[in-house]
Amino acid sequence: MSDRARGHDGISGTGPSPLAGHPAGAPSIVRQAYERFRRHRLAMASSAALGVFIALALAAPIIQRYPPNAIDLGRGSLAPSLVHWLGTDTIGRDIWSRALHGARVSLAIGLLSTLISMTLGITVGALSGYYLGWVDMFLQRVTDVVMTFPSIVLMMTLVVFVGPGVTNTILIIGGVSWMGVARLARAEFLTLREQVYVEAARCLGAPDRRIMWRHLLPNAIAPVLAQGAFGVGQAILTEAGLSFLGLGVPLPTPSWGNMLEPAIQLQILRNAPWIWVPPAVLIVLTVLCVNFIGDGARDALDPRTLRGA
Amino acid sequence: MLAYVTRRVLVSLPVLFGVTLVVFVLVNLMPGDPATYFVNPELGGTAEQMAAVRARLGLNQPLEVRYVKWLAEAARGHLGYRIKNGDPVGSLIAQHFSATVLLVGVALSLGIAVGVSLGIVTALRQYSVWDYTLTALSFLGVSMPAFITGIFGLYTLALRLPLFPAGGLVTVGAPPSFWDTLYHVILPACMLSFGYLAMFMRYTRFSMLEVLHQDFMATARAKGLGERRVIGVHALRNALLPVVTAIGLSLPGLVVGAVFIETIFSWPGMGSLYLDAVQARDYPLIMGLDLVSAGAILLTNLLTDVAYALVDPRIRYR
Repeated sequence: MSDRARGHDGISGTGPSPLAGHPAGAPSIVRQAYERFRRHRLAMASSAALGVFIALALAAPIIQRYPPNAIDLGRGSLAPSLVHWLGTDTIGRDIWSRALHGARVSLAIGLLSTLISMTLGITVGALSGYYLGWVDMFLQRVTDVVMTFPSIVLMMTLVVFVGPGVTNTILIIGGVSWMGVARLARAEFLTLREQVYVEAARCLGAPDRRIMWRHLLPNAIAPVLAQGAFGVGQAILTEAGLSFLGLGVPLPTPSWGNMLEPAIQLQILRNAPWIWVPPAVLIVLTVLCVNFIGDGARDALDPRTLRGA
Repeated sequence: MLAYVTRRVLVSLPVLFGVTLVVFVLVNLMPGDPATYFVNPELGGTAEQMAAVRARLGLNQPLEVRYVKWLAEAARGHLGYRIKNGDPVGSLIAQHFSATVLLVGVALSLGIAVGVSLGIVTALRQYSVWDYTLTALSFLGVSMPAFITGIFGLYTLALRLPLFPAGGLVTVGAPPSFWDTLYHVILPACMLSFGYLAMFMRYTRFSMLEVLHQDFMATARAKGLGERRVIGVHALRNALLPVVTAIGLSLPGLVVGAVFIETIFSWPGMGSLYLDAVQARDYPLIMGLDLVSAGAILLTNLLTDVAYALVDPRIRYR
């Protein structure tokens, strides 16, 4: 990391020499990254907004006004009012309460499936970039094959296999979105494995596992993590898309995607916008925030890309 | 050039092989025995009858034999028959394929034309009001998936303001004409292109900014070339190279978006067919669609790379 930070002049104070280790008083790498992140105003504002969303999602059982799955056929498709802040859906469920609980489901799926795809991607990329040879050849062809299918096609086929459900949705999204991370991690490992310090570690008799865990991974992780932030946004969108098609989170569990599902009927789309506007707006706002945070994280963690795009 | 194309095709072959293998294995691992479509053991079908059906369908042969046979049939365009009503899968896909190509083609053209132009403009006017506004908007663009732009577009421009039809490929009952199709494709295509337009704009802007600061730009100006030629030829030609790659890479995503747009606008393409197949668990149709969509993407990746090599001679000799 430190040799990459060299030549980046945006760090306040006296930048530590890349060779001098970590002199007392100089800001640590994490501190420097945070300082860079803080300067990205949109990323900071987005973090705050996302924090509010997460707080609301966590507090859902307290601030809900009705049970999210309580059906009241006599009070279906009501426009927003003081009784139902965001109105009710066709079978009388309170949209505000469902949006809150949907946030829990959608955010959790976004985070957990990204965790899976990152783990898979880093593992594949690390093995590929470190061992090269036939391991690399094989893993790269596997990546090529998976990338050739449009992701939704692969996911829909898998849903037919295992059926819809929250856990299955997490596994499926995680299982088909690791390729970008794998490519990135492979490139990082590929350059890092040739560094002199790695050679030194090898000379000292460090086993491959130790070299990969202790010497390569910590140096390769920053740009991969920044990519991971974008992954969360993408995963939230994917969940919403799958649930929108009725192939993700099954009812009655609310998710932002399946709350959007009724919009497919022209009658509801035209006459009851309060049913589909809240989940749509929440999805876009959340993903927008996550993308801004990702942008800030990339600037902060991967100074090479700090060129204005 | 020929050597490059040959090499590129050879690299694609193992991927194509992998794709067919994945499709075959996935569908054969699916729960349920196809023989039970014809003989139901719970309704008194005997083991002999089952065995006879399995022999007739070739299901008693080893997996690798079935794979090779299936591959040979698929190569000739025979993709089996739909379980629902026995329609041949191959011709069914062919019918829907053109509708999707039309939708994705119009969306891609729109995205490239508008996105690249905006990217050039914002790069030339860096730090201007236009640059800030469009760059901020592009973030919104890449954060809006096709199913949300589609819903909002349908609501505002077809239902609230009835400027465009709310769905379908042609006006029912009207004679088919170019203008009628254009009238139907324009709204779904615009909604599909929205995110990609933003992406192409960002790529073009970034790449253009990088080129504009290179030494050969000063050289071109020092030679006394006019600004129009410096920007339009020297800068643009180099800046657009990475954009070609971005366009190629965006294709799988566009197909994904098309699935949603087709569902929202009842567009009779591969996406709505796929959803149909998935909901009915129609394995032969799923298998056929998986194969065709992956094959189409593989082919366009190949074409993108060849196009790239055509415009950038450096690639050919790598």
